[in-house]
Amino acid sequence: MDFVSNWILTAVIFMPIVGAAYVWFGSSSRVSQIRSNAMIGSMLTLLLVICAAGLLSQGQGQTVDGYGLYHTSGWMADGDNRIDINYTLGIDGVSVWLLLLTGLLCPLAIWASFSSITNRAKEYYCLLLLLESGMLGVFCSLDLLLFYVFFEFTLIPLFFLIGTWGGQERARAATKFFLFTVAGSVLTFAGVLYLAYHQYNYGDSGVFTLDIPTLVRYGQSGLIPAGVQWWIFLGLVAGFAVKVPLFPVHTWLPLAHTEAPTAGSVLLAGVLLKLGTYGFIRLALPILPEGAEAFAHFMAVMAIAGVIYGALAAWVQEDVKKLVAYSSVSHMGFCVLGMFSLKMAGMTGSVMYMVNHGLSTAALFLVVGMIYERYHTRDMNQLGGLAKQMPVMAVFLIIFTLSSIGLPGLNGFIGEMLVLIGTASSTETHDGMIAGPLGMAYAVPAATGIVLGAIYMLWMCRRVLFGPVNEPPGTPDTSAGLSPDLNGREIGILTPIAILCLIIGVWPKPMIDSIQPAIEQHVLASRIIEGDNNAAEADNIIRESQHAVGNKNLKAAVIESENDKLADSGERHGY
Amino acid sequence: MNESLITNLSVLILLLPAAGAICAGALGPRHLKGNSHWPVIFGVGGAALAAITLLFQVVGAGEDSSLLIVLYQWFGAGGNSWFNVELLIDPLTAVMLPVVTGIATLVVIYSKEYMRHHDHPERGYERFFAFLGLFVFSMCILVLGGNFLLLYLGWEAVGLCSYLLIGFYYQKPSAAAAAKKAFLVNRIGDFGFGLGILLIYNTFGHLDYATVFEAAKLGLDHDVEALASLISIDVIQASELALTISSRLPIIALLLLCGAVGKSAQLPLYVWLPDAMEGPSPVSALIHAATMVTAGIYMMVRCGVIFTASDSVMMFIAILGAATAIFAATIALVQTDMKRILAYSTISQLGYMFLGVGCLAAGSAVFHLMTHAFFKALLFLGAGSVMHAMGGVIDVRRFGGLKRILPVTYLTMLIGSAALAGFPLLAGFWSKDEIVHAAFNRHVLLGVVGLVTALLTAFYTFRMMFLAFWGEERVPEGVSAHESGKWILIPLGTLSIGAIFSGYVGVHVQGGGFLGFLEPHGSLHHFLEPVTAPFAAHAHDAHAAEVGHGFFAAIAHHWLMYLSALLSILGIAVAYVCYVRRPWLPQVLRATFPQAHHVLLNKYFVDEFYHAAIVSPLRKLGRFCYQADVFLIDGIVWTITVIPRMFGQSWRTLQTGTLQGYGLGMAAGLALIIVLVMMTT
Repeated sequence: MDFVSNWILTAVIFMPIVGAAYVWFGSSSRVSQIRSNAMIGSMLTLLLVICAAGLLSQGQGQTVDGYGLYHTSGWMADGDNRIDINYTLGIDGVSVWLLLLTGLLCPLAIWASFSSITNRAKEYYCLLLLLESGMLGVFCSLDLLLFYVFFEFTLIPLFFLIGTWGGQERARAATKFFLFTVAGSVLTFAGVLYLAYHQYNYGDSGVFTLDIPTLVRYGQSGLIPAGVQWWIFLGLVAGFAVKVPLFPVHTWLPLAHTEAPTAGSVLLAGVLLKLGTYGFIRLALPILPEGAEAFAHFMAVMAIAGVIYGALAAWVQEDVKKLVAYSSVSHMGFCVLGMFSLKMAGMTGSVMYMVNHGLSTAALFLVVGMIYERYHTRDMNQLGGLAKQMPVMAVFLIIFTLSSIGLPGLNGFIGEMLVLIGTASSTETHDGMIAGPLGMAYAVPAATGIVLGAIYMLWMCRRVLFGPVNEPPGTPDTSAGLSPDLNGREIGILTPIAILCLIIGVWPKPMIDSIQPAIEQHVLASRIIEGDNNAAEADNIIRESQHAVGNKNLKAAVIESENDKLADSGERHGY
Repeated sequence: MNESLITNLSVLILLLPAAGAICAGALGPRHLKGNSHWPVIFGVGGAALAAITLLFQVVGAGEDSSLLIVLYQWFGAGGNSWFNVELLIDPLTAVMLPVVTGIATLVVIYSKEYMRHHDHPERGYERFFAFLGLFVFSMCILVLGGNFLLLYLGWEAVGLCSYLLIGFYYQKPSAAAAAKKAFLVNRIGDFGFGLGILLIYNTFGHLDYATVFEAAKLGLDHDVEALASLISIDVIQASELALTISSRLPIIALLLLCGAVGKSAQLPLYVWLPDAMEGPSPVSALIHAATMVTAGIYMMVRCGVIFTASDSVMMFIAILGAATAIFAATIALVQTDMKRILAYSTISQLGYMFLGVGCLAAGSAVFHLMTHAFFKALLFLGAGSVMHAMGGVIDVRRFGGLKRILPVTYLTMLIGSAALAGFPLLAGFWSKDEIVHAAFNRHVLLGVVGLVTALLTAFYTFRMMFLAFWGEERVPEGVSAHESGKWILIPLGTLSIGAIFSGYVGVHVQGGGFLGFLEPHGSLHHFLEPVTAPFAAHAHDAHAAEVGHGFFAAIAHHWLMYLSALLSILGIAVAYVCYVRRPWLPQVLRATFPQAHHVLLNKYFVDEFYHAAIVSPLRKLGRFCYQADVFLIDGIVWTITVIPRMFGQSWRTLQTGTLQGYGLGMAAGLALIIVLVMMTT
């Protein structure tokens, strides 16, 4: 069992690559064989992800610093152990949900490509599987270099997916997407190096390490001066903000989405955007608490600007896919807003929002793709009254629209409400945390996003689904073996997402039960107002760090830094 | 009170309609088809029986009549604070549930015949019943929910069902537009409502009714110690909190009011309700008359502690209600679409209920809510029956004199109209009179507006009746009119019994009062007292002082009742003169005041104003944002990329590849260095 839990994350990450290799070398040139092989690869990955989640919830394997299924082996080191970069994997209650999301969306995206991708299918499915590997790798990495490698690696398959199988302007879209993201990532890498260098010079470990738990401990110890934190924060944020995408660096997104093939859009909106917000939660916020607090107002203003701006821009689109793309800008603004409330509610909301947005927006892109395959247009002036032609599609589109606009009882609501509660109550202390930077003044403009969200989504529904039937001549095109309404395969793709939307809306407790302890430990530890149980907590931290480092000097140093931290936060906040 | 029985009953009330809806939705398209109404009839009917049983249980419980049932933990905001899925059973819930489920049952039965043409189910028959079941489920959550989040859930879910059902004939562009408008206008109100909930959480750190109301009460009384122990904080924090509470409650109340204004179609957000008549008539009867639109009143009564904290907020609600009541009534005077007349009348009657709440007569508002549910549902269903017979035509100018063709419909609608008009001894008379009375106690002007509206109500209601049922017999061309079948007539009959007698639950027989023996404020008000206590605490209990002696003393004391009875009869008489005796009179009036008629007919141009003032500027802003994306932001990015490109361009010219050039450059550089070295040494 220990062997399994030690290696399961590695298996999760590399399973899609194995699948890609099998697709490349093990398939004939028949499209049907290629795609079923790809499907098998991604389904096996999903199975492994589910196993990993199960093992995590059982508490199997090594748990270090609160990261379960921990595995580390040496990667780069110099002779006298001054450099310590490892292949370290581990997941917690936050990343496990993003892993599950990725594991679920990839097979669905592959399944959705069955009817639309016929040329160069082998390359296509290989790239999709490689992309899956990259995304899974980001969520499993506990070493910054590894994280960064996977983070950047996701660009390459998506670049080719958009550039090769995209629409009319695919080359421009792919280039724009690539340049925006790379420009941001370079700054992120600069921030990472500065952080590691600072830790090497001033930290206690005495080694040049990119180990995320070590860096988090270092950041939380308060040893990084505020001025330095600001610079590192800005560096890290540059790359993450482009990925999210945060206003005003979002302009690559609508173009990339409109030009990408359906599966590309699904994974882009469903998972890739979350790499940015995940970066915030895993790195920027825990390592740079003061930087985060200093920039919280700025980030929140940008996030709210994105919420409103994205919604208004979505409303005037004629292209359904572009509308959904702009809705992503709006929604991801909510997600960023929630985390900068620096409150448990807002943070939980953000994580929920990542998963929920991943489900509902991916599903919307899937539905739009299914419409496009039949009508060869996404222009709302040429489409109308499709509820009569495609009643089953209409049911799904309405469910996902409602989920997207945060109807209570569906998944979107939970995240949205928690984000708003966190933002509004950021200045309050009744949740046992020190007061955060935001407040009602931020919640009010953000809440307009709810109204605007309903406006553009229902606008879209009304034009596409309702009213008199309006179809371009010669459509619906069923030449690719499609039926006028959704066929069994397409219903099979959408049904799991719809069911999850309902389950998460009605019974989100398992998610919240797993997310909140992880956030409490990894992100907000320094913001909890210390009560009677702080001794027990300190014990806990020491015990775990013992486990992690196993070096007596280091242990002493860590204990010291923890004590400093406790004393420090006590001093600062007068408790 | 039998807790386990009540728990089972309330869960049953929720599950039965949901199960019916799921059955109809899942099995309808393939298997049930034309029989899709059965699961919903059983589901909603079963819920109605359970609701009535529940009412008797709660009535039997006497004083200790409130029970909180926690089903499971929903989601949490960190720490140990969880928002639960919990149900609250108290007198208000116990009264609302039978009204909702009872009327819903009748509407579902009615729809079985209404949603067919020549005995063939309409397209989307199963969809219709599934949505109705879903609506009843959502409305029950709204009424049963034990915290603000469940209230919000129910609130949005009924809005969704309303959206889906208004847009039932989705291929009609007007229906699709009306559905969207309804949802959006409601969302604007819900924006405030949501912020109100956030502010409640900010203030109290809890969202369940019990804690919030208790804390609000303690905060207002400045009972610091009890407050501290209630939400486990220390006394210093509690005394700060008490101050915060008293300053914030009015703001919270105003924010919550936004939601009520949207849902209950008050000024200025009423615009969605008349358009909502694009939905099938049973939907108008159930959702847009009897149940969903009263959610705002339910919420205000439920949150009495919060609303009564500020007297000016209550006054504002009263003024808003009175203004809406008379405003909508004037529009109803000239409309010709039977369902739209009833829609404006609903807005006006909801205005009465707001007036009642604002005048601290919460019990009377709930009383009017209940009686109104009966007679307005009856009128809408009757209008549907007329429409059914007229082949879908509902414009009163295109038919007339139907009383012989549709005798049962006519009779039942007559009862409903009389009840709406406040004809003495019918349901509407009792409840409306109480509200007008409370309004007079509050301010004379409010009372006068209430009375004038009562007169207008009687007039436009009977204008509609006379135009449709009296005079020369006319039907639209090609229509063979016939009376509806028993599935339609039985609900009509049942509801007309309600329209006659439902007023008597709020009246008690005693010396004094109307006609010397009927006294207002009967058992219903007494039953609701635990819920309406915050209102009563603020009201100058005028009614308690009024115990008349003898017939004439009672008349003197109850002059208002007699006056409103007179006004009701006067309104009916004027309508009779104008539309039966002297049909040329309205034409003369219209010719004399063309502007006034034009303004009323176009509903004061409010829709046009909203479009010009809100919708199109926002669209313009949206286009601007998109253009900014394309030109401004991408322009800046492009400019930035130009810099390295120019850099590259300029250096590229040096890479000529000719050796002479490179040699020259090397020589010149060497010379420069030598010169520099020599100069420095």
